[in-house]
Amino acid sequence: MQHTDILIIDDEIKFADMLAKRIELRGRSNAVCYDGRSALEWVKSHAHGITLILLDLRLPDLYGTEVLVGIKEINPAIPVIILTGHGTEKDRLECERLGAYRFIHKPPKIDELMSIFEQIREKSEC
Amino acid sequence: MNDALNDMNAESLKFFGKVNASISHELKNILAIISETAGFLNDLTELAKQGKELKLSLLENCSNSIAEEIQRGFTTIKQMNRFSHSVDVAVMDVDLLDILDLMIGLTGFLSFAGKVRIEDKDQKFETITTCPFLLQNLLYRILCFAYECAGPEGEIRLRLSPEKDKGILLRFINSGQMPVEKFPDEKIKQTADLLGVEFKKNNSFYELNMLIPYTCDKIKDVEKNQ
Repeated sequence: MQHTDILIIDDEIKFADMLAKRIELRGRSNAVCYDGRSALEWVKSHAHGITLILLDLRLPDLYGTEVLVGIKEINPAIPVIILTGHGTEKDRLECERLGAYRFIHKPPKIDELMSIFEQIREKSEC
Repeated sequence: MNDALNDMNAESLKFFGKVNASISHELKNILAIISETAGFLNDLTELAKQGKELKLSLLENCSNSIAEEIQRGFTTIKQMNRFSHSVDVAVMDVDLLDILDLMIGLTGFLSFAGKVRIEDKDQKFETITTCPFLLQNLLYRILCFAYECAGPEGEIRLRLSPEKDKGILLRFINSGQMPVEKFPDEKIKQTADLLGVEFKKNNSFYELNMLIPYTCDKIKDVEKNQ
């Protein structure tokens, strides 16, 4: 199965697609899911072929935290960064409790995201 | 009526806050898209500096996307302004279609909102004398209930018809089944009561009917004291 560097889960289609293009320009493969259920299906079928997931908290069908729990059930080793427009401190603590790797507010700084990705990739290769 | 309105102040403030939070979320989404698009343009510029070919179609797509998002932002700010001014006067004559249109727009910012369509939108109705803020609150809550029943792929059709000398009958026809035994909840009932809105029983799990009166005694009382 082909490896995917970064999976973006966000219902704001234009935002997700643009972020995907920028990641692609940096030579990293990616995939995009626009709702929670299809994202969980995607993760299930690529459970050991994803380096990093970027997850929005507001999705049309499921709460981002439900998706986070689902991902961790499928493969607890996949790092998940919460990428949110309006996450509160309470949300951050809850996401950390559920195993989120980082909690970042939108808009993200692409270089910061890529640097986190590289750190994760290096760790996983060790 | 005034006492009842005072009792609802906390609830109204919550509603006002909830709507404003969803508007701010929408605006932040718009800015996030513009920010990513600007970042992408910057990426393309850097690549062009390194001698890579710059595709004009990509630049055109980016400028179109920014223009669309700016337009979306203007529409959102216009809706925010209309909503904010709905508390200026307690009672006034309103066009129900206008209020429905605004509430469909504002509930559209919610992540679970589905599609809503007003049938026969070109119909003309008599204005209704009501408390616009409370009517918005009521319609917003009912739309949220309907979205939750419809699911993200569902559709809600709104049908309006005049009821002679009484008011306007508003029907919510949902593609998803609605647990009608849970409707109306206490908050919806309380708001409807203040506005003289009457829920009409029907035997369908897919339809909610309500009669919005042209005016009612409680509203007239508030209007007198205005």
